[in-house]
Amino acid sequence: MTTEAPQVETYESFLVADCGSTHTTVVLFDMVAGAYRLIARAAVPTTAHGPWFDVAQGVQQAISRISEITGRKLLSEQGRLIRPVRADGSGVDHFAAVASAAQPLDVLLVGLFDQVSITSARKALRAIYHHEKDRLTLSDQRPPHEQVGAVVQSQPDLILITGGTEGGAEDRLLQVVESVGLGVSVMSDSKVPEVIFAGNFRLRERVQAMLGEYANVQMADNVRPTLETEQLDDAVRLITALYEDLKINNLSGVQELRDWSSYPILPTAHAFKGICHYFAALQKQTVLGVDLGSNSVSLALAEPEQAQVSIHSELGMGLPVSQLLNKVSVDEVRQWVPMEVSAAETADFIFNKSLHPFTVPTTEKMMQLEQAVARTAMRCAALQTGHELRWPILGEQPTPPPFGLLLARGSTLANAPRPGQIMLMLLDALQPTGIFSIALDRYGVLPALGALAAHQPLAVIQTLEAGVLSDLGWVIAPTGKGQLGKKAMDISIESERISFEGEIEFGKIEIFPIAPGKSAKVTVKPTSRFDIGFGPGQGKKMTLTGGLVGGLVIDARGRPFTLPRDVADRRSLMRKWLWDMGG
Amino acid sequence: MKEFYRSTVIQTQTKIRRARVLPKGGEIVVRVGQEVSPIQVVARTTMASDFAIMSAAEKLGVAPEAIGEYLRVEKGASVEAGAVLASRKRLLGERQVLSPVDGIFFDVVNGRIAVQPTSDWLELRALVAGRVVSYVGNQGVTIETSGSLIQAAWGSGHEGVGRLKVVATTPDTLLTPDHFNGDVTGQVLAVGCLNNVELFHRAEDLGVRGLIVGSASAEVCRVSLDSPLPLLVTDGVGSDGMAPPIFELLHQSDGRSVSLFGDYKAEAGQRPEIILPQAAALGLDAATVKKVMAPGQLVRILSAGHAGKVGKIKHIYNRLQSTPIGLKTPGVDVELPNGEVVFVPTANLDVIV
Repeated sequence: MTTEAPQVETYESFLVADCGSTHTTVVLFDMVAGAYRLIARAAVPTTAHGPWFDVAQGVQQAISRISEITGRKLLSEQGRLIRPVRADGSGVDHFAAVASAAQPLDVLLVGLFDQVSITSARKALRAIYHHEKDRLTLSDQRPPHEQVGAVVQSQPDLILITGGTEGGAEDRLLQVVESVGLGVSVMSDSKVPEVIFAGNFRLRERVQAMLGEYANVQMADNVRPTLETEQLDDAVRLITALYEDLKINNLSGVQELRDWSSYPILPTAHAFKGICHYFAALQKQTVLGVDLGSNSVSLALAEPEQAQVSIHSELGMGLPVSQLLNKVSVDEVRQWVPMEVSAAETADFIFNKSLHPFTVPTTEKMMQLEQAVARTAMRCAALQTGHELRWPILGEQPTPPPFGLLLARGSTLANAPRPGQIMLMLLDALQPTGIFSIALDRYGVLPALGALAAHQPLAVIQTLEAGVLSDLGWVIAPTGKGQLGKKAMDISIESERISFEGEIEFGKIEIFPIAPGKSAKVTVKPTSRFDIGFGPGQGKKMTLTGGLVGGLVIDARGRPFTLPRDVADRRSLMRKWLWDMGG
Repeated sequence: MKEFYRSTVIQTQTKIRRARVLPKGGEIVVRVGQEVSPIQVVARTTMASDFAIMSAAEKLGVAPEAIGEYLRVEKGASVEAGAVLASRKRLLGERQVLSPVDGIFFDVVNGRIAVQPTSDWLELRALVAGRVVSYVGNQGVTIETSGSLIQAAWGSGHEGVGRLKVVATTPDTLLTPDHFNGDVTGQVLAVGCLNNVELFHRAEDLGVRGLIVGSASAEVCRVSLDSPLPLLVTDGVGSDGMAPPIFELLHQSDGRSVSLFGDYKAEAGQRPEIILPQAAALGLDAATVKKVMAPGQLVRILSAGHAGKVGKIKHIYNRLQSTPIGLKTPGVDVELPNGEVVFVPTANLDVIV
């Protein structure tokens, strides 16, 4: 961060709560010596669900912890937030909250074809925390009565109907909607679902007539007006509003937080997207954000002008992790463990993690297993997002588009004992390319800052200036293929501590020491087979600063890189990478 | 200020109220105040998924929106198999749509008629012996009972009731074929560990009503999801066995009726439960979740190495402590029954209530 922050004459203090699915984090921001700072932070178990069923209780407990830390009285005797600040210094001026503790929206997808309208519907749904309970399409082989049963069994909060280009065929979609109509009429005994119709405009009235008696039907712009075009904004707007209304606003105890709050309560992933966008606009570069949560994995991609988030509620380090082995084989997880571990041991660990998501590893093997699961979950999310958003394809796999900054958060990452482990997890999972730096949200405050960014930009700038993020360091990761052990690039580094000139071999990951916070002049010249973002063989001179991993990381393992098939060779290589990265 | 920690209820005698609810509205067949047995039906509804659906408009050769004038029965009417639901006179006779089943004329959507068979009732049983204290709309009832209550860690999603038979001698006893000797049909078996899928299937074949295990392998857990045989895991996945207080409580309750509440919503913070009803003195209070972590408090350890062990908090550290792998974390010293004192991160503790 290099932007010079202006001084302020009058100021206000902020308390922000992040109600996650396992932990609630509360952060106090206030003015110190003329600039905003993170004053204190406290994290406690989330109390949104059983046995407490009151999200506000956890927030109150975290606020009490902050009061203990700072000596500043923030809650009244009745447990209410003191707001605004009193003459005796007690209280706070503003309160804001973000939440991912609410249950995901259960969605039934209805459309014509998996590859067209259903694909677009899934992209739109990535904007919220959701579970796809079932889908009905033309290719559904179930007889009509089973389709009706599927509607009832899925007990959806939302039925998202897409399909049909503007002015295209009508009857086929209506056939599928018939089953939905019968299903919702049965459901109306117990639950009135919401329906969003985002298909062929000409069918709106008929869909309303078929479903309106038993469901709340809303109309959105067709997500696929033609086969070649996609317009998701209107559907995303309605879906997001529904999620906030049905889930966040119905979180038990949330009313108290709303009463305290100066701003609307945002989904955590949206606040995270907001801060990624903020960085992108501030630094005029592309920012990739990854949030490895307990009940979801979110990826945000932000340009200075726009940002989007892709939420994967089917992934995560908590409850959803039990479903991980439905997506990948157990060997795909344990390939990342640099020590002997059986398939059964790995499967047991994964299942257990879903039962006790808040636990922290206490042995080397447990830690390596947890980090292997983290890599797999993030990799699944990245590949899925890449396919959906049409990221560049390298070696038949989507790769994140080039970016300048990677913002990472999540307790598995933040709790990793050594920075090298964190960086290696991110590089292994996302396999990014180009020249970029990585910053870790070690204190879990980025969503809180994202919630404030739109309303209090000065507070956010100054808090970030004060260094609430952990700069892990810079990475250069070329694309291209070569022979293992052969030169991939030349590099020279000049700093106070080191002067180095040499070659980087393909297949290796190396770290060149630059002291944290110190700068070094770096010149990189890849061979004609490799590209660091400026074209094959094109070099770059730059000044980079050192981060917590202790230097500049050159990841010349290729994209995508493959691990050796031989188990012993693979473990040996993994151990070497960990060793080289100080992990 | 209250402190919140994760906890597990293991209570020998407590008052318990549990709602029994149908997936959709239906008919309540018990009255408030009535004593019910575990297998007694308390509410029922028609199955939602087995509609008979007929393309009536197509068969009669009319537009879907015109079907109303050809219907011969009203929505909600009972119909017998073979009954004429809709008909249209033609020059050469009459076209008819007949009901293929006994049922209720449910609805007409876009020219198609749906008949809901009345033969398919979904019946909701009490699952636990007790007294009906209230209705839950038209979807179910709340039943009150007293007895022992154990919160489990994981359940296969199925419910069951039977006579408890503890086949283990120690909390870490592994289920073996020998444990099926004698009469196990209709019983709910309790054992320390289960890591053999074949033995799970053997239990199914022998008519076992349910399995309570301290720990089970991930493979067994996955297989059990597709089986009607309820599996409840009290402690965790792996081979660490059962927490001694749970094992002792089950051991003391050997031979009693046990109800397995294995259908739960984990994402809503619910846990599967084991309930062993037993008559109690008046004025018994419901289990409350303790909200303090203090020296002397009984806790269960959830992390590897000491997973499943139960001990007492000996010391609470005010500052972060460093673990052997370099992680800095808040934690406590726990004294195990053998006198050993181990440091445990707070995140890896479960307060026993």
